[in-house]
Amino acid sequence: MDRRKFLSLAALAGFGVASPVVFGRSRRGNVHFEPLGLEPYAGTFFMIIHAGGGWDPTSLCDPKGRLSEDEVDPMNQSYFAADIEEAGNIRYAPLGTEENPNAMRDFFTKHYERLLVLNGINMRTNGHDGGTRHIASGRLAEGYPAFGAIHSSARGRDLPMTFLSFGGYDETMGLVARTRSGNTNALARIAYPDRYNTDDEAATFHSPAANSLIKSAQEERYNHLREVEKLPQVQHSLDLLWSGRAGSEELKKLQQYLPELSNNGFERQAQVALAAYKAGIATSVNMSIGGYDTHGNHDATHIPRLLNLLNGIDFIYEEAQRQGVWQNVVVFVGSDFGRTPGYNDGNGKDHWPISSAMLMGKGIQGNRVIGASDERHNARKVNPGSLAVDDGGIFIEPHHIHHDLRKLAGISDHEVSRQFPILIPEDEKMSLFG
Amino acid sequence: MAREPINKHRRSWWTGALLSVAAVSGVAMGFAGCNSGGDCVSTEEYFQTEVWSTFMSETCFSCHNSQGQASHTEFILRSSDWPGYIETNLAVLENLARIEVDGVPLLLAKPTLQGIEHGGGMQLEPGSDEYKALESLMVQLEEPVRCDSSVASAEFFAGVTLLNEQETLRKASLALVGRLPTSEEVARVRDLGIEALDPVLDEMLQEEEFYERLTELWNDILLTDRYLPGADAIDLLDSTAYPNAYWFNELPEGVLEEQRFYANVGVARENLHLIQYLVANDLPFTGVVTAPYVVVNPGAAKTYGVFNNISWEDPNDPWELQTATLQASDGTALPHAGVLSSAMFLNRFPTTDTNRNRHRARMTLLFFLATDILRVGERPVDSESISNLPNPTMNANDCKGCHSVIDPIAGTFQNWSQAGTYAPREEGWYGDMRLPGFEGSDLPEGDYPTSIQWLGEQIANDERFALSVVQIMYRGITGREALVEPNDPSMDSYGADLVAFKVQQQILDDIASKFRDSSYNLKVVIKELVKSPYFRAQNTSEDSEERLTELSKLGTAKFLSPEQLHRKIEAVTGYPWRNGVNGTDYLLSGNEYRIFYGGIDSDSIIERIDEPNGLMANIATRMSNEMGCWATSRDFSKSPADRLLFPYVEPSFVPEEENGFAVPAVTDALKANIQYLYLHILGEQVELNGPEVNRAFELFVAIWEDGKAGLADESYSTSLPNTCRTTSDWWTGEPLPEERQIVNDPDYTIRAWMGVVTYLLADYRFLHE
Repeated sequence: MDRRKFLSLAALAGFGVASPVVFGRSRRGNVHFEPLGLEPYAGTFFMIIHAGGGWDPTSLCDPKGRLSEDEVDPMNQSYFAADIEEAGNIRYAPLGTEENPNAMRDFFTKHYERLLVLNGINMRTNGHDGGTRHIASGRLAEGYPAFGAIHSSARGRDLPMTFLSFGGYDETMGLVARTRSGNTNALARIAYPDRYNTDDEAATFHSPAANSLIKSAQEERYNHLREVEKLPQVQHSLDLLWSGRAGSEELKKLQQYLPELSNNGFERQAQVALAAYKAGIATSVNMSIGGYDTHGNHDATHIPRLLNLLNGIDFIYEEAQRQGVWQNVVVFVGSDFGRTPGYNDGNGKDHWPISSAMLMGKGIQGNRVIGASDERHNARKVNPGSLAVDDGGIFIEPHHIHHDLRKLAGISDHEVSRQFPILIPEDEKMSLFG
Repeated sequence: MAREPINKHRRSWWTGALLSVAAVSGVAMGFAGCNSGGDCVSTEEYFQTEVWSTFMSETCFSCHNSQGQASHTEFILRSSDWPGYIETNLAVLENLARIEVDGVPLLLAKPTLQGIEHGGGMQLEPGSDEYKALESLMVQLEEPVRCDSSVASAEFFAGVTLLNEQETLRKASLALVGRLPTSEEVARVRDLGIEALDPVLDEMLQEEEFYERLTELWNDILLTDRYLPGADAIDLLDSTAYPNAYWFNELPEGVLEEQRFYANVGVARENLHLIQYLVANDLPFTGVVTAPYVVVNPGAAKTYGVFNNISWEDPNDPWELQTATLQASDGTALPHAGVLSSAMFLNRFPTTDTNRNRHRARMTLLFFLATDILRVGERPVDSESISNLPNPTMNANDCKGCHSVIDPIAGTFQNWSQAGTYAPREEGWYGDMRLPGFEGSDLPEGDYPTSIQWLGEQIANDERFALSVVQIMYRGITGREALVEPNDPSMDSYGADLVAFKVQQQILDDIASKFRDSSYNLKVVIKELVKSPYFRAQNTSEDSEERLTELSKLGTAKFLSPEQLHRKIEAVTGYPWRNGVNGTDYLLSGNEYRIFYGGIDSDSIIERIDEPNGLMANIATRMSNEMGCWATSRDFSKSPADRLLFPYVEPSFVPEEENGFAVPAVTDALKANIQYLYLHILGEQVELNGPEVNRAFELFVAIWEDGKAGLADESYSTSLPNTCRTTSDWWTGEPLPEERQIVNDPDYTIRAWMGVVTYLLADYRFLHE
């Protein structure tokens, strides 16, 4: 047997053949912070959440209940229209779990004052890739980076974890490096690459003087290569590697703010993202929660997913409060598209180009619903000035949202935004966020 | 080795761009076949730049497409999202060009309302630039112009420096077999022209490591390594058809786990093993969709219950691969069709009662027909047009364009259940869907029980199959996606992007053509890609913004994947980055750095990150520190003839003697070793007294001087840090004789060399290929 092949395959398979070496006593013990080489980021932190697969707003924030027991082809089978509830100005589906039948009520009554709902968004597609790209970039066609990448590039291009991505559309178009998190237990070794014992600042592979000399030689080498390498791709790669190294010291701060990690994957994403923001090394995060593409057995599988999503949003709020950063956080939740009015033969719902979005956080005026859809979930137009439903108005589309997201982030006129312009005629501009 | 650009002279602006400029400025081409610069312009080229891009893609296509208002006519065009759309559209035009109305070609008469009605009314003014361009095309279609594509290619790459033969061989060797080429292999290609690589590559493509790389490359597409953990793959199988699937459960503890591992890997990787088998035996790669068998290792054969039907060369070799025909639960032989009938493929890309195999059809189009149907379908959708029609996939214009393509293919998967087992539907295929078929041909009635085999044959006979495989191999070998035709003329880079796309498309088409001519031998594709400028482009003498935009996707700047870096570290240092000989490989383990370093888990993380972020940069730094520490002392523990890193120096070689004077011979040896390290670690040929060697030499001396001072004032220890010592053979654990052990560093030279090795292992050129 080829031992090497066995070991590499075993690693891929998670087939344990030996325990990994444990470096240090504790992930957070005896941490020594080096002075920061980059300015830590303390501006607005954008958390972009994608409900992957196409969610059903009619079971959430654009509720369309069943009209009667006898209704043929009802919009929803899990609740009646007469049972739709309200929290402030926000109507929501009266759904929950067996353990907590009022789960949606709990969420909306807790958060309605800070929650903005956009309904009747015309995604103009019912394809997954296109919809995912459209809601994340503001453009249906290819070629634009995700909003998170634009924001990170404008606000903290060189920070080591500036654009965290856990999924969704996270194309950067080369603007900025994405960071994806793996097992956070290895972060200590990554944060302290010079130490063979991460808890002991003296336990370094090289002496401090040698480390400094190596870094100087590397800088000279970078400058030399930057001078002689002329292909744009090579120059770009050189710059990315160099900027990645420039932020290496800042990674150490992440260790300070990481709490004991949750067993829930989505909550873990939120913990890492908020700790990275608190450490001043992240500016945006793409988060993802999947399972919404329920072509069969819709209610039984989709509604629990929606409740998971609401729990996740609530967790973000609580964790951001605990970290003391909520006042700087913006949460934007969207999906590929919506789901068809009524059910197919498999009790599922197929793809539908009308969707919704939910936002809360810094600069978002809550307790509002903008846009609407009719009883069969066709989008209604709105007056761009008054934002009221108006058949003479226009459909809300993702580019309207992204235009205002950029405004909210203060990057509308930034060079990076101009590189990927969102052009909206003056008479179609809205002020969605208040 | 000096490298010469392909063409030192400034190239002329590429023909397509010239034509675009002419079109934009309203200058109609004076004569077909040449542009104003005298360059050859093919009819295809002329159609794309003068007719399609200028007006037909908007004016005509808006109605004349498969879901448009003119979808009932003969004049149906395809959008640029379809591979080969230019050829397809040109063929449509060629057919219609023969029809005339009162002596005027129908295609000119209709949009100008000359003696015939047009549902879309007047679309072209007679005598307009657009009209003249279409008129000129009609003339050309009588005798189409064809040009030598190599001219456009040579002009595009003018001023681009390519890796020479040795450098290309090193890069190819690391990319394909994860090792450095031997001196004998280098000698066989040196200065003999790029074609000299073929025989050496042929030998490399027989090495076991190549098949590991091939597996990795295709798993990035098929993602079936998701089922490697535990018995995840076996759990997916039909327990009725394979009652002894868990045969290993009878085995004693310890053996059980290992045999389960082999059996599960055999099942999980049956498609990747099929690919290995086809390539290793020089069989037509069309077998990936047509092979009437499954490829199994002994463990998988036992799981499938076919172990005794096979003549094994060594039944105890868990990696031996043989072909087998499996049986359905009723005992009939399964109609295998390569990947398409595999339970792993069918589970990885599952279906539901309402999805009805459309997902499987979509992935089949994507993997084997170079067609991203979602991209084709990316256009504004009107919800009312869907909701007002019964069965929108059959009737709604917004839906049927894509569904007319994927639904017939979905129907050919009808005999395979959601669980991926062979279970023909008693009630037949859905009556409210299109008939099973492929590209307008219905599945013949007699082929229904073996419909998936029929589909495999259709795919194998489709022109797009070869292109699809070439594009996948291009991605695997260069680390970059094949370029997609730009479709937004408002983008500043549109013109340059179009030029880059067309040149690449031509080169990939040429490779696809050679692939077909070789009876679909995948090794031909690999060799051609390695010799292509996309693998070899290294630098450029061009400096204009427009040229640099064109060349923006070129360059040996691919950040190595965790798997590739893992192999390269071992190839260069002689040791893997692993915490102990039986320990965990840091870059391969999902619990260590594989995911952080941009790798995939084939499950939820299926897209690689190929641009380094802060975490990845830190991982690379840690690697350079750790391997610099480990490999330096291990290498010095060997005799010079066996060393990979320090063949020219000893730990006793110090830059200056006690009296403060340098010994020239020692300085020469130190520099010679540094020069050697540049070549060995980075593949970079540098001058002995050039700036690169001097920088590393100064680093060595500076660390040594600091260390000497530290030793003198006893702030530094004479011993190496524990982790950097070598007292035993790393591979065997056998203690080394005392004189070969590296524990102390009384002259501080080992630590100075550790610094140099760290410096080089962290270098851009080590982390990229």
